[in-house]
Amino acid sequence: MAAIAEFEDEIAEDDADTGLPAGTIGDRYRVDFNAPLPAYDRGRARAFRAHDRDNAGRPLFALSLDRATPCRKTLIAKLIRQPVPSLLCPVADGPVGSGVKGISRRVLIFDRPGPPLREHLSALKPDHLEKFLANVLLPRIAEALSGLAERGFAHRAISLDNVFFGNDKAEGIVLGECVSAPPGALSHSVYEQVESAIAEPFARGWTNREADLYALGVLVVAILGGETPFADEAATITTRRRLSEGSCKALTRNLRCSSRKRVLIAGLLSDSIERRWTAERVKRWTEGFLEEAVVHAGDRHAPSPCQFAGEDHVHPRALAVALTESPAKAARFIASGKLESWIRNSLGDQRMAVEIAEAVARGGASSGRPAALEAMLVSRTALALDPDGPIWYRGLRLARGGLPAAIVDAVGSGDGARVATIAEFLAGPLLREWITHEAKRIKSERTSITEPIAVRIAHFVNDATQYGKGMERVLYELNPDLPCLSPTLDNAYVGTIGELLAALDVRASQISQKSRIFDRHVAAFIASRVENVDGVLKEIGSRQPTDIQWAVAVLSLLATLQHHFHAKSLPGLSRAVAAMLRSQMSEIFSTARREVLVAKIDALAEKGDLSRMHDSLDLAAQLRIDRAEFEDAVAYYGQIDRRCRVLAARPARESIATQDLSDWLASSAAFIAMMASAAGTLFVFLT
Amino acid sequence: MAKKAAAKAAGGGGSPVLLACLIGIMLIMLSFVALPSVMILICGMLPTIILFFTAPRRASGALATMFSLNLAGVLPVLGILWARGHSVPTASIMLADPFMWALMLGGAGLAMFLMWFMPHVAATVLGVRYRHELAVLEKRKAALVAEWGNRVIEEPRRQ
Repeated sequence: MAAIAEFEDEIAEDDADTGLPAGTIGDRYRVDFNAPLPAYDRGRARAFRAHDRDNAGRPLFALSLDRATPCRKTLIAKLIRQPVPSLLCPVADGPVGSGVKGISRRVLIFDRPGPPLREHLSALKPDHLEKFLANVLLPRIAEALSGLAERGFAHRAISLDNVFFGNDKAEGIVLGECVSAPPGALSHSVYEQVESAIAEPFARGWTNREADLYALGVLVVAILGGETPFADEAATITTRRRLSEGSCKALTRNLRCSSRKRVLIAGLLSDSIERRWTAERVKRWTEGFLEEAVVHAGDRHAPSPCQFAGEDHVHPRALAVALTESPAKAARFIASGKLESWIRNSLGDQRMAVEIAEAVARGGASSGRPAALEAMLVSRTALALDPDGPIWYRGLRLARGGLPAAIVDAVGSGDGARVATIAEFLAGPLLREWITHEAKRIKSERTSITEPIAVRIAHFVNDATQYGKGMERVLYELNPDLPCLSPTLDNAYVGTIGELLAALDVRASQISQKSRIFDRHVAAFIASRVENVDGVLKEIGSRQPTDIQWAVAVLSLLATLQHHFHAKSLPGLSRAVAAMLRSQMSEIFSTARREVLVAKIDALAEKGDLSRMHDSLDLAAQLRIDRAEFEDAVAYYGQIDRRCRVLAARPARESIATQDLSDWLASSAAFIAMMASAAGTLFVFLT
Repeated sequence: MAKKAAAKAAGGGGSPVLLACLIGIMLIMLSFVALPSVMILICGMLPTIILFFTAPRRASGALATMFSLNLAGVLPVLGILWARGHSVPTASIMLADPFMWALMLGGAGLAMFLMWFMPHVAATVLGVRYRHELAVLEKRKAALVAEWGNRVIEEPRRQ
């Protein structure tokens, strides 16, 4: 018990020092945010020292995940349960920091490996390199890849930066982690197969296990050459060369090595998946068996060149890349019919020629902005020329299955122009055409987005102004494991509705402008995770935050969520909603009703039960009654006011009523006098 | 509506004349039976007769007042006439008596006084009543403003 108390004291001290959250995962692993370990940083995820309470001497590091980088959740869970040998596997996963400052970060704990291989590459003597490859590196990596394959996954993060020694004494090899980012996102483009090399880093898709072996081939070239080949060159230039010459030839042109190693490299860098070496063949190579490898000679080529943008092209796939680099010129070139003629006559591919002719015809028949039509024409043509390559649209390059993570990257980095381009792509016909194209080429169930999902996505994009829709909704629909990216949450890692309510509860008490707790991201996150909330979100979206109806709708939604997800007391959120309601109480016309409601709100806010607050206040009905009564009051006031003006404006002396009363009084008196006179006269006459 | 009003106006011009004719015929018939009384009535009721022909039609209250008080003054004179034998010479003597005239026209004078004085009384009564009603209404307005705010005043202007 004393040890636990000491442990928690240390956490509290860290928290005070850094302002960052502190905490433990599973009451066992403690993250020291004061001790960064930049050597283990991965993309936007930051590494820190971590400690194991059960084993003080165990070196660990924690990777604090970036919420705008989708992690491989299923693989994380799998690797924690069943670690793979020679692979840096997470030992624990969980939020850190909740409860202290209320802001949680998702952290993965890893056993800390030795230094990165890259840092010690120069220390490896050239004579020992083959031995190192055969006895240390390749067996370990093959073991890691086989282990992953047994679990149904590919690594997709092999690069020179992601290979470590097993310990501080530079013994053994461990393949770095592959779970903190989407597949291929953190590697240089040369580690990617030609199909996905020019795709955006986050849009490289899942591809396959063969892609790991290709990356392993590039890793071998990098180790032998001392650095990643063509690391400083633009991805499109390297890729065009790889498409023209074949990856092996393009990447090893300056490499000097033995023929045995050349066979290994040729086997791994084959652009043909069927001819590429398998893990077993790599293992056989390490065991000294003589294996054969066919050097792939690049893409097919035409006997006569096609001239585009001042360059001669003979390879259709390389030409596809060149077309997408100058879309305006490409559109004119395609429309002129020269490309179709070259394909038909020189390349001799009638099917491809027909596809391009169809693309030209479809472009002429479509309506839209000229730039979008141009882009669609180039995109369709590029897809026809390179059916396995990424789809291109106005600067976007998306490989198979790469769309969800590409959206996360665009939205997460706040690149409005890229988000707009993606939205245009999703709303247009290209996405559905791409789906049809993919469905024809690959039969796997996990190919990509299906037709009904595409229709749904287009609907969300077209209704972009509505709350709970737009690109934010697409983001969360396509990335079901993604945490909420709302700026309100201050980088907190919020993966579920329960966590969202807890995070909003904390943030609500920290921010001064309470209406900011509910934004488009929060709305879209809720809409994508909870059913039947579109109506209330529409109500929220149609009102301004200064409108009481807005606050009422927010209360209604939060109350439903609290009730539905059995969230505990939410005092912060209750107080924030109460503050919003109070600030907009001026919209309740009746002073008495307002005072009663304010008193009720204040009392209910402290209880933290939004559901009860919603039911007790019944603000929707109160507002309706208040409005009706106010209208009656206005009408009544008008009547009174008119009567007052009549009374004030007309002097009593001049009024008809005065005349009538005067006549009545005078005639009455006169009549009495007459009767008295008649009676008197009669009396006198008779007596 | 206009036609109705015109017809009413036309009827309004003919009706007093008709009434006067009827009264005249009745007096002529009565004069065969009681000429002295008719003499006294015609002379004594002169203020009413004059008012009948000169007063605007809407002044029916004034005419009623004048008629009642004028008659109240004439009735004692008629009583005296009947007490003195109800003959034309007696009636002529009485008509030459200023006291008799004072008695008959005194009622008319009193009617004139009432017609001047009563509007003041009525205005005072109604003024008090209006002020009270205004105060009550102002209180109600204030209560409405207190309950609903200035919007209850501004809302009709917006509409």
